[in-house]
Amino acid sequence: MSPRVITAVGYALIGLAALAVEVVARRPGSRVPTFAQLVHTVMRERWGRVGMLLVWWWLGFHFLSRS
Amino acid sequence: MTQESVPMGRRAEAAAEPAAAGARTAPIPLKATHPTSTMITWGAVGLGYSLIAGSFARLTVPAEIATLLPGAALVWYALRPTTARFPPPAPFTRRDTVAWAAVGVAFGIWELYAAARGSTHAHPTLSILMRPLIDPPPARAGGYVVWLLTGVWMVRR
Repeated sequence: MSPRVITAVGYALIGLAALAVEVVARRPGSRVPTFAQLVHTVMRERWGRVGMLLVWWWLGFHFLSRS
Repeated sequence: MTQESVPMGRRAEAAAEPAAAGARTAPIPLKATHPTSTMITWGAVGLGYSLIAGSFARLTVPAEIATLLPGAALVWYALRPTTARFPPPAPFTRRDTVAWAAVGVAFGIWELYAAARGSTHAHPTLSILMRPLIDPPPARAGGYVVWLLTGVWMVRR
């Protein structure tokens, strides 16, 4: 297995882990927040809001304009 | 569709509290609704913008402006004190977020490792890995749609 494939598999596993956490969070009675609830809570704080927006902005700039 | 999955909403009926409306300082919370004509109009504008922006070649000034302009507009809109938002979700503790933190740390380590190795063909960062997927103009236009919808979804939280 080439290093590139290993790297891609690593990203895929991390994505699957995030999906698994989301599934667990959506089960009835779960204490784990969903990703949306997590983002929503961070966005309630002013500096969290600024930080999240800058991350969003940078992701668009990086992936759509620069990559 | 749930509130979490739909980047839509409108101000709650102000008529419910007509006397207090003038004295209110905080914006009226949003509530999930069916799409209004305003939302559909903005959606069409966003779709058209995405199609145009997706046609710009990457690493060019038009492509950079295409992300800087809506980014600045949404950041300005999000930081206005009068921007209406959805009500906050149920509170949770930091311990409840450990699983998300672990995923975030794992992603950060994996990205830093690839970047430290030079972000080469053999050790690509996520953006390098996805480049062939998002390079065609239709895919890039789709990327703009997702990015703009995410931004609108965020500023209403």
